[in-house]
Amino acid sequence: MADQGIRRTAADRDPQAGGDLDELPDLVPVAFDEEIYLRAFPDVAQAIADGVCESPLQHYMEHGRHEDRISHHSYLLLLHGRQIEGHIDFYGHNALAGGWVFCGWSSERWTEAQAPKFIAHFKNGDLSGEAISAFYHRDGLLGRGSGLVLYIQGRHQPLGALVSIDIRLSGEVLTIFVESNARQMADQDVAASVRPLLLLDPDAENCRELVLLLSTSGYGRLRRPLNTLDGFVDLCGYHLASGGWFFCGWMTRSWDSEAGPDKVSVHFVDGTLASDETVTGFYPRDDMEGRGIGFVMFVHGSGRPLGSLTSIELQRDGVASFVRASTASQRLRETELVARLRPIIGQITEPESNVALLSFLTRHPYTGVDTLSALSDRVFLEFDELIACPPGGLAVMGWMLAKPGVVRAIRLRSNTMNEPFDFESCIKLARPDVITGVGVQHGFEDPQCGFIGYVPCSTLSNADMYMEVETTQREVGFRKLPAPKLDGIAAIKRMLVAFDVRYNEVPRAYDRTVGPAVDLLNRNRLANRARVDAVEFGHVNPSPRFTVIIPLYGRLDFVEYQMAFMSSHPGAYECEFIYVLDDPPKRREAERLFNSVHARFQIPFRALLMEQNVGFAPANNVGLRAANGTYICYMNSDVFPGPLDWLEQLAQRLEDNPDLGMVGPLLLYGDGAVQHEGMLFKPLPEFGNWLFPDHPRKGMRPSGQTGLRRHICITGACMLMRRDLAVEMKGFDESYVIGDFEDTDLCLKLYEKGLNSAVDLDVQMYHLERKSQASSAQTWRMNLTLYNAWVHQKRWADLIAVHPLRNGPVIDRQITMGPPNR
Amino acid sequence: MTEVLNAAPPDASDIAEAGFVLPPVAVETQPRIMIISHSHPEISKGGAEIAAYQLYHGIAARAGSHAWFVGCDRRRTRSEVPISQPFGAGEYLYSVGEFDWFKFSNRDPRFPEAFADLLMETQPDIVHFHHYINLGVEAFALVKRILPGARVVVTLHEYLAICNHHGQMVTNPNRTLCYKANPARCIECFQEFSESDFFLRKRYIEHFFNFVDHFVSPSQFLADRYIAWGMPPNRVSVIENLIRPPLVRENFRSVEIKGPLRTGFFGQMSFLKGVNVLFEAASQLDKEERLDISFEIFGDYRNQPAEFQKELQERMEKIGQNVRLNGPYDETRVDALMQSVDVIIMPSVWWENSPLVIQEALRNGRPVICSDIGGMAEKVRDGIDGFHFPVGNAMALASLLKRLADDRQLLIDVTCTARKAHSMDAIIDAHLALYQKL
Repeated sequence: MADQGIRRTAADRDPQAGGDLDELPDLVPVAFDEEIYLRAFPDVAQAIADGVCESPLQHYMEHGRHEDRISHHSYLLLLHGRQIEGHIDFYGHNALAGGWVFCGWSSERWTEAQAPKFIAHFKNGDLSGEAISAFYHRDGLLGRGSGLVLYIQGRHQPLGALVSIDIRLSGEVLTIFVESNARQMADQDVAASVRPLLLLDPDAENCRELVLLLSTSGYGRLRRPLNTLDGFVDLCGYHLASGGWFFCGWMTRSWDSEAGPDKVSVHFVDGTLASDETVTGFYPRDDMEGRGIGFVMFVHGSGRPLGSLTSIELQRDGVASFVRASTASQRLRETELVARLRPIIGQITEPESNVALLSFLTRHPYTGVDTLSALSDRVFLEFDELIACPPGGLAVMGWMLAKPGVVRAIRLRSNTMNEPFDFESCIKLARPDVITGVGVQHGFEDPQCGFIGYVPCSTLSNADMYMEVETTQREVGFRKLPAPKLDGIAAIKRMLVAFDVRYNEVPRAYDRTVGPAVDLLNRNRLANRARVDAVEFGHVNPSPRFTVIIPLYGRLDFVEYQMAFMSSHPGAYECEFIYVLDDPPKRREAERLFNSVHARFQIPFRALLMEQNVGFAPANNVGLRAANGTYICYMNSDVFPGPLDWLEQLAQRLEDNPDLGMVGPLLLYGDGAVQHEGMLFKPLPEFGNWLFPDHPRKGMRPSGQTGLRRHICITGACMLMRRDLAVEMKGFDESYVIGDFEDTDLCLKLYEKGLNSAVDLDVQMYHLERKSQASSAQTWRMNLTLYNAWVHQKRWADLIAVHPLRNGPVIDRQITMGPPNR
Repeated sequence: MTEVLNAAPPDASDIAEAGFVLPPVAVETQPRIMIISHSHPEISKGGAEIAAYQLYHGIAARAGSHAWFVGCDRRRTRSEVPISQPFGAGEYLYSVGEFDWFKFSNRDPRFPEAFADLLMETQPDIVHFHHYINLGVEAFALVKRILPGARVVVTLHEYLAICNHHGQMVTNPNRTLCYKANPARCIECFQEFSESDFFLRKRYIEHFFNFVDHFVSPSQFLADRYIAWGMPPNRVSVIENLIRPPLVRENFRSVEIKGPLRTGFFGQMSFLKGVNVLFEAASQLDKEERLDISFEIFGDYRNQPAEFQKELQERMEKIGQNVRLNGPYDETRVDALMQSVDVIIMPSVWWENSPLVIQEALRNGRPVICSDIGGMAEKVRDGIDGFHFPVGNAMALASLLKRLADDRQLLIDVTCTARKAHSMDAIIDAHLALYQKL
């Protein structure tokens, strides 16, 4: 600005102000200060240089006075406001705080509500900027005022002695003049002197903030939330040995460990790295001129190339701020990165982050050799199996021995992978063999050292994988992981056969470990649609009223019985029977059987032969895709008709009751006892209190009740529904593995749509359900059932809790009690 | 009307009278009759195939009748053609394919078409199955599908539909007598199957039995067992099996009145035929030095399982002088052989149905000593046609033989009261009458 000074205007001439200063003839004004004069009017320097005059005073006397240029004192008077009593005892610039700190006392106080602005006038310049002021109690003042600590952000410049402090409030300006005995202190001294004063009353307004400002870990809190932070990244690079990115740059503010960001995401052009653990250290940067503080940040991540860096996002309480990268940001290779960062990290004042960052920087990379045994605190880690769950996870099975408090972090790593491994959230297994083998001699007694864990991974690599174990001493050891070899059902089985959980262990185990792993393994397994070969025996009706879909696995001979019994019914020949063979090793046997059956009974049917075993839901869905009937009936191979017109009877129920989505028969065992007449759900405490289907009255003689009865769910052993509805429901849900819960899942989906399921007690058929084997060899089947229960529970528990039929069927008024045991 | 014969002793004339409506007038149209057996007498010599073949032969011999015989061959000599005619016109042979013995189902995919062709060509009015082994119970439905107007008749041999243990209703492996089939108990004999399997087996067989218009049982005992199993009583009749006609009658030799009591055993030397009981009784009598009772054993043991053969051989080394092993015998010589002994012993430890040996014994005027169970006890009335002894009880058999040896009059009396064997014609007539009625 051209004139920094103030010229008196006519308005300023105030006869009551105590005389016209101009009338002091030829007198050098008191407190005329040449330097101030020069500073206020830059043309004076030019005039002197041009030889117009020889000194600023001369200039004033000859020109300035007549031009109404004000002298220092009045200049100051006009600049300043009302003088108040007070003083600044000492002051100085503090680099960490990034500004000047003034300490003294003031006779008047102000509050935040008045939005005070502060200007510090030095001999050689003024300072103004973001500021915080705080009052404290000073005994010596005897009520004349309060102690004052003031902070004004600004860089360190030689400004000369402090002259005064202006406090501009809304409406007026207050001024504190500073005597020449005010002490200017050095950086650390001023902080050290002020801090105890602030701590006298840390709850007083702003005192704590000022303390933080001056503490080794705080900078520029300035009453603003973290999300208004700004910053730049000067350099970055990936450090392979420690498995993460280093970023170095500056930010407008720092944070301490409690007030840091909730979440840090690093955005690159080709992707984002979300961190689980970041370490940030702050160091002073003089070149920032008080506008910011330097930082070094380490973010764990894979070394996957993601393009150039665009920004680092810091989130707190849902709001984000960004530290930006630019074309000026440098991307360094590892060796140069280490060289540049080492001295910088040395300047980080906060010890913990300093040590942490340095330890990351100086780590040795993995060379393919196990180094775990070299740790000073022994950690034993062995792996039994590694199962890849593409695309996003790995299941690890093994055991670990470590004394409590020794292991700080474990990470699963490869050249391109770096994921945290949370040992505590694994399923724990008893491994007495480990204790007797290795544990005892090293002082380990607890046999619960086996584990099965699941590690979600952003990428999966085929490269050599290893575990990186970091101790609390910041030592790092590596242990090689075995190559994953299993997939599909073999992998699922391997996981499920290894553990045995009950009660509250169940939800934990499945939510964290088994559930995600099996979900991915199953999706992967079904990703490539297995090929299906279709063979038609006889001429199947091209537009049948009914399609019956029967999956086959294991026993095939039931086909003979089913076809034989149905062969007496003329309607059977118009029906579209679809057998889906989901048992590839039995293909030849099945083909021979189908040929023989067709020759004998002459019912036309389609055989769909799966190239791979896919499971109950996918097999039925294959059948559904091939079906042409108006109605479809899902039927198990071990279900046999009672009345020969069972399909017609069941279809009639659907037509007469538009609220029904699905209907099924009453199913009996071979000895005439009930196998199924509708289902309920029961929570089983032994299995996490999850809901499991229950067949009430199973094994009892039929009650003699007749008619249609609605239930929350009916069994998939025999269910009839309209085909268009089945297609809309997309058949059975293929998330369930092998076979379990698909039927109740479908019934509940229908209910969501507003359609009910029912049992037709007048249609009695046989279901020769095999008794489930309860042998120990079948642990994995039990655990598989638990997996399916987990999927089902997550999806439906809430709906079941409010379903009107959850406690049993509503008795239809029209049902009559017939004589028992028809 | 009751078709089940009452307990009165069957007699040639009785069969014609008991309940069958038969005006002995010539029928307007001769029925066309197909007899089907699970084997063929040219291939094996079992009672069932012989009975079936005799029936065919007898019917075919009647003037104006059309009859065909269909047999089966388990040897794979003619497998490229399912049904062929190696024995001349009127006789057909089915070359057996894959057969499921558990539920008597014929898996051979060539059979339905081949059999259908045969039925279409011959157009029988009556299709009479002796046995459904090798052919499959589905064949009954097949006949009804191809020839809706035809009638299906099935003669029951053994308790096959009831019992999975060769249809003999003895337990596996102990071979104790079994009185009733029940899925829960059947799985104890056959651990490889489940109750559901037996449930399905019965349903399967019953399903196809529903296509059968009438069943024939050679004995009341067997019929009663099937009725208890679930067969409707009005669908079963009792008609005796046909046996081979005797050769030209030689001089008839009647039972000896004095001299040693010669007993004869005719048949397979198997466990179920009670050969052990016989040996034990003989050895007991040998110990008591009753050499006036002799045992002639006519039969073959070489078809028996290896373990049993070993057992038999050990026993045979220890036999006394009162036992003579004569080895297998030719069917054609049976009459002469039977007339060379005084009494036939049938110590079977299973139910039997209508043993061929009993009919042959009756034909030769020889009384029969048999176990007091099943079809034996029915065909041999105690004290009238012969004598009973408690099943499996060798001591009781020995005592009985002593009693008979000491008092020969007992035997003489019985030879007078014993019924005569049914004549072949009578049996054939009974069948024809049955067909007529259907």
